[in-house]
Amino acid sequence: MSQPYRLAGRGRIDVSQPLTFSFNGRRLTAFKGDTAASALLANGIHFCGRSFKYHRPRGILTAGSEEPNALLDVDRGNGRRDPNNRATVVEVTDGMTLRSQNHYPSLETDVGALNDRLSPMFAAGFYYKTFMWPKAAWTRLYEPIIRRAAGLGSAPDRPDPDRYVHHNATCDVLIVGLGPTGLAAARAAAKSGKRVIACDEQAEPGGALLHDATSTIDGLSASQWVAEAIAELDTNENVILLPRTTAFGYFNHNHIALAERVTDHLANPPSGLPRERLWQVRAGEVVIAAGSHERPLVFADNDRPGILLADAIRTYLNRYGVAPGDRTVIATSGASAYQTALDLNAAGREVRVVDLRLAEDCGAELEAAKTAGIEVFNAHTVVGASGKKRVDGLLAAPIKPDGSVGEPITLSCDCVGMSGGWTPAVHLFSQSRGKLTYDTQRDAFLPGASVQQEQSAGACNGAFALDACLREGARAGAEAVGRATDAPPLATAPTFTGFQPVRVMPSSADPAKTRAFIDFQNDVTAKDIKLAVREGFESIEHVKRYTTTGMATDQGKTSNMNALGLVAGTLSRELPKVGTTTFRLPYTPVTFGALAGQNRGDLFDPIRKTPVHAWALQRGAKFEDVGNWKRAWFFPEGRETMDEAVARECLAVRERVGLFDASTLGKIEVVGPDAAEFLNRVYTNGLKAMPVGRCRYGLMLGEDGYIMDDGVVARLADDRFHITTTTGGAPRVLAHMEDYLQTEWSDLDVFLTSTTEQWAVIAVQGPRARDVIAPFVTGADLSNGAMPHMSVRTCDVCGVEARLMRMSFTGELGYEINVPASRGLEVWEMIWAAGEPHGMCVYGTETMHVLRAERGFIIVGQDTDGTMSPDDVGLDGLVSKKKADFIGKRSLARPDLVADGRKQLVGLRTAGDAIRLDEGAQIVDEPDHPKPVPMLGHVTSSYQSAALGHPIALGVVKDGRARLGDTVHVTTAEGFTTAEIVAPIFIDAEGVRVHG
Amino acid sequence: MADNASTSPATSSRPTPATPSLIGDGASVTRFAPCATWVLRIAPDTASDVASVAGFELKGKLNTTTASAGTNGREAYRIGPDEWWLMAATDDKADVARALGTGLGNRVHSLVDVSDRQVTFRIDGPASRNLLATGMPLDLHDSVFPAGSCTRTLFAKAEIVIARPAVAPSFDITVNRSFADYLFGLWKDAIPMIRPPGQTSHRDGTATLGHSLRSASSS
Amino acid sequence: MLMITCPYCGPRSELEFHCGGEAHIARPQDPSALDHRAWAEHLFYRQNTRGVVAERWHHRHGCQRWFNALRDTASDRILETYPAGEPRPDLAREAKR
Repeated sequence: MSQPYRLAGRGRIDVSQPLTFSFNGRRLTAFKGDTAASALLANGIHFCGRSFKYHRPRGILTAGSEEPNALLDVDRGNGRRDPNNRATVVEVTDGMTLRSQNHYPSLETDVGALNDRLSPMFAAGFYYKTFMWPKAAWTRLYEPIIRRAAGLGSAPDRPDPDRYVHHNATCDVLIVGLGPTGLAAARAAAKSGKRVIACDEQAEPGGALLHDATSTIDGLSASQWVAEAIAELDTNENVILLPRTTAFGYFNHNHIALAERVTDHLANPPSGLPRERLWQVRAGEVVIAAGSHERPLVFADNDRPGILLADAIRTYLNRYGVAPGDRTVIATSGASAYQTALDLNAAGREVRVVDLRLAEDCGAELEAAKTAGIEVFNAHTVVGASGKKRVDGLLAAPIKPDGSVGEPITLSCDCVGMSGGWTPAVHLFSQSRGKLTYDTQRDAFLPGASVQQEQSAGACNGAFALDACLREGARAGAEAVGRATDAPPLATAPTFTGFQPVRVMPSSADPAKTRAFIDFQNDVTAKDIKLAVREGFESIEHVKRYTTTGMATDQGKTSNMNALGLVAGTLSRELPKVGTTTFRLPYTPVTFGALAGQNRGDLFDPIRKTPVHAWALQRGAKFEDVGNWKRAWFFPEGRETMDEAVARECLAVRERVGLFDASTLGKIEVVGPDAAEFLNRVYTNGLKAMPVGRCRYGLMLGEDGYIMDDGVVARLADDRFHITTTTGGAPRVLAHMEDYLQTEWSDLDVFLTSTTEQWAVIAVQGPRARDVIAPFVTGADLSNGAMPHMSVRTCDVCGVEARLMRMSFTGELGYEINVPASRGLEVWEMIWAAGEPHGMCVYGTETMHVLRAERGFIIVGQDTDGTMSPDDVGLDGLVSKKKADFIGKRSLARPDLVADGRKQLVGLRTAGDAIRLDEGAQIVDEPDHPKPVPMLGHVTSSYQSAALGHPIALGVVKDGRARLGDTVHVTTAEGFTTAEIVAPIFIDAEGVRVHG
Repeated sequence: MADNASTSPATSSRPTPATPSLIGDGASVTRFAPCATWVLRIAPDTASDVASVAGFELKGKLNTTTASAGTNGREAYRIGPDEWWLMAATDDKADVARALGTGLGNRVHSLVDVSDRQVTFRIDGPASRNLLATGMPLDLHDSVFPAGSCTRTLFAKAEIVIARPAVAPSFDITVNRSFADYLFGLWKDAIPMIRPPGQTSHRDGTATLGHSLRSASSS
Repeated sequence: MLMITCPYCGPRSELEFHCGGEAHIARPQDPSALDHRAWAEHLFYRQNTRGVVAERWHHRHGCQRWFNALRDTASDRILETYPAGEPRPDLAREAKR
């Protein structure tokens, strides 16, 4: 079990729990608590990937979620494979398989690396400039090749076996980040007894304290203080402490989304647990304590494996017990990196420091280094690195008093720690719509005034010293719960802070030949950014899009300030004048699984079933989706095709009788002394004088005059109506009517109640309908005289209290039996049994559609599209001319609604009745007209009519009613066919059959 | 699993199956048999005037339930300023309907029988809030939604009415009948995945923070 | 997602609500008395202000009441909600009080 770079007795990994994993086929060992990055480094592996564009060898740069380089394919077995995982956040589990990405045939030997040698070609805007003509080559040639060559890992090709779940939560205070600031804030807030949620993206809370081997707080070591703080929070039942949980989105009104990784760190997760849990938190107050990111230095070949951020080295050393190298050079323009040098020195590693700053500009850190015997090169720049797959030397050069760069010296090494200062993580603050302000002294964009109930504290607010973080955290936590600030925890051992901003390390080399990387993940160099500025891109938003800097999955966490500073410097402008890019969610990548949660497969949407569903299913019905409803579409017998089944069903209804489940129709009970007056204003028809016991087909308009819905209005009593709506229209109609009742006509005494699901609706349609139901009906006289077409009775059907309506959507004699839903199936079955001697047939929605189209009845939403007036569909007769007002009436006189050239509903018959038209097919006069061909309208409904023996269609055609008999041309899959415009009614134009 | 109906007079009108239909770690789901239910729409002033009808109290505030002792568990939910749901045992349906007719008399109102419209589930157990949190943003904390609360809201893509009958975390969810399978399916799917009650991630057995609590300093 | 305080139910998630557009546009008593221009303005023309607007909201999945809200369209902050039928609150005057 060799982990040559593991240091005994250091770190927070659990050496009692060794585990094995593989990397590119090599079996390696690690310990519980290791990340993939710390495990690889413990095994001496830095080189673990190829870059996006140039396929350059890349290593591990950071120790956190900002990692741009070390992206791995992680396979947890059984189809649990994910590409593009940051090695620095993946916790190694026993048996895990890791693979590097973006290379062929192997990491070591990669043909794509040729790009690196051709790099002068691949400057900023290369694609835009090169792949311009011919246009057609884009889709067929350029894009496929570019997509294959560029890009990161490969997408999983198997369904995700994991499960994900959502969790909604409300709290008084949400604390994001549990470093020293967040822990201090959480302790202060928790004391109030208010509800606190505190999350941290890492496996354990503590942040920078977890790798702080020297500071003490309240007399405790940093790790002891963390343990005490967690223990205190953990025993407080008002606190929810969430490690491995990233706050990735900050939305309106303190709505924050968190991604909790529940099982990824477990080799064998307990069954049933979700892989991730998406938290949607509504917080009274938010404390952002998100910390800061260290900046790389920009010098030639600064991307070589073995070159890390200085604080990352300290993290690996102190938290994971791994020394990333034996001989390290720390290159810095600031103070904090000296702590890494001191810790390395204390761990017995060889270390030297190259500092851009003059000795007199340094603080206590220089003295500490010298006291420890560390060699420091002040006033030295870095002009390059040697070694390709692993750094083997750093080229440092003195900066002369006149500013020129002297002769470089090579500092032999196997590891470099660089530090160009610190960038506060203002992402969440920015997402909260807060504006950033530039702070010259700290060379950082800092949170400005809060726009939501939010405070930023600690390093993300520009406070880099430990005692300042603790102070700000304690204050923010107390303020969030409306308490006076507690005494903050006291830290000893001052933090080394302060740095000299530097965009590109000074060098005398030809900048055109220097590969100094700014954005590691998108392979953007300083040269690219300078080129973009030279070519006229001055806004950072434009530079970003042109060079792609900051646009990778890491969103430029390590690179943005260097890019901004370089643009400003090249333009000789102050940095704030260049602006900053907008930070968008997610803060770090989020899985699709977490976002989807349980909304997948059969649970994606409600599947609504009627009381008769099980019967239809057993009968072999095919179903169609209508909104969320499953409706029986047709009932094939034997090996019937759909057309054959529908033809049989249609004929049965026309010749004998059919049974149909209409339960999905929307139903509303309208009750109150003013119910008739109200409905009279809602529908176009005159309904006020309608007698009790009668029904009427009603048309409902929007205030714009267009048809909104239709249905039947049945008057049960003077003050009680039962109305129906289209299947999908019920909620919309109810809301529409409530709106008028509450806001326009609040003087009317009317109440609405949705009864859609109270009633099962059993339609019996056809010449023998009365014969079938008569034996079951008590309390109503079904004779034509006593109960004519369009009437309603409350009576018993099959011994069940029912609302029996005589009405028809087929053109035949028909009844709709409304019975309480729980009795629906039993009534249905009794009627079905009784129908057999009459040759009754059960039919589905397709037959219903054919039958109504034969009779010319429209379906709102199919034959209308939201811009059709009653006159357009030939229903002007349903519009009362007597009523002074109803919803939509005024609009019917709008100039555009009475103008010529409106599309009108017509029937269509193809020449020789040869083909069934496609619904949606366009109708034109001149198919040979130069494009664009003027459109007359389109086909809205099209069926084979079994009763007539030929296809029929409905459509809308400009001025169609004046063109009966004209021939028009209709698009088909092959081209055009001709059709004759006919009246939109094909059967029983006189309408006598319903009175049978 | 205890039969909660017996400890909750508020809903004793509802026969509860002896065993819950779904049992999870800390939460269970039970489907009630139907009960007689009416929607009463009546102007708030008229309602205060009536005060009580057929054993239903109409005096409660919006989004509260009222149950009257000694009337066979009759219960009213006030879910809108002018909207009450009145619930009674199915066996009493005819009597209650008559009493409502007499009691409301000629006052302007609307009474609609919706006994077949909807289905009610009982979710209880210490983790019931966490089960409900998988699909609804409504805050069910004691301070916001104490016993005796009710409201119309959403669970995932279904409109529901939720009521809290008792001090112990227990909730009655009523939904239109065609959404019942959808809700039950979501709960069945979620129940193994919910957060255990009153536990932070540290203690739910999935975290490995134990080693971080060692007092060992790293040097 | 917004958190909207229903004047009847208190704060609820935006999910429960439906926005009905600009508030305080009363339907004319006699629409037929309006000429085309006036009717078009009633029906279609809206202020679309950047800043504070009065909007109609329906607590569709709650108490089902319509009410009005003053919302700043630039910040999405909701300054006040009040029952339908009540006049638009004068924020400046209330601030002075």
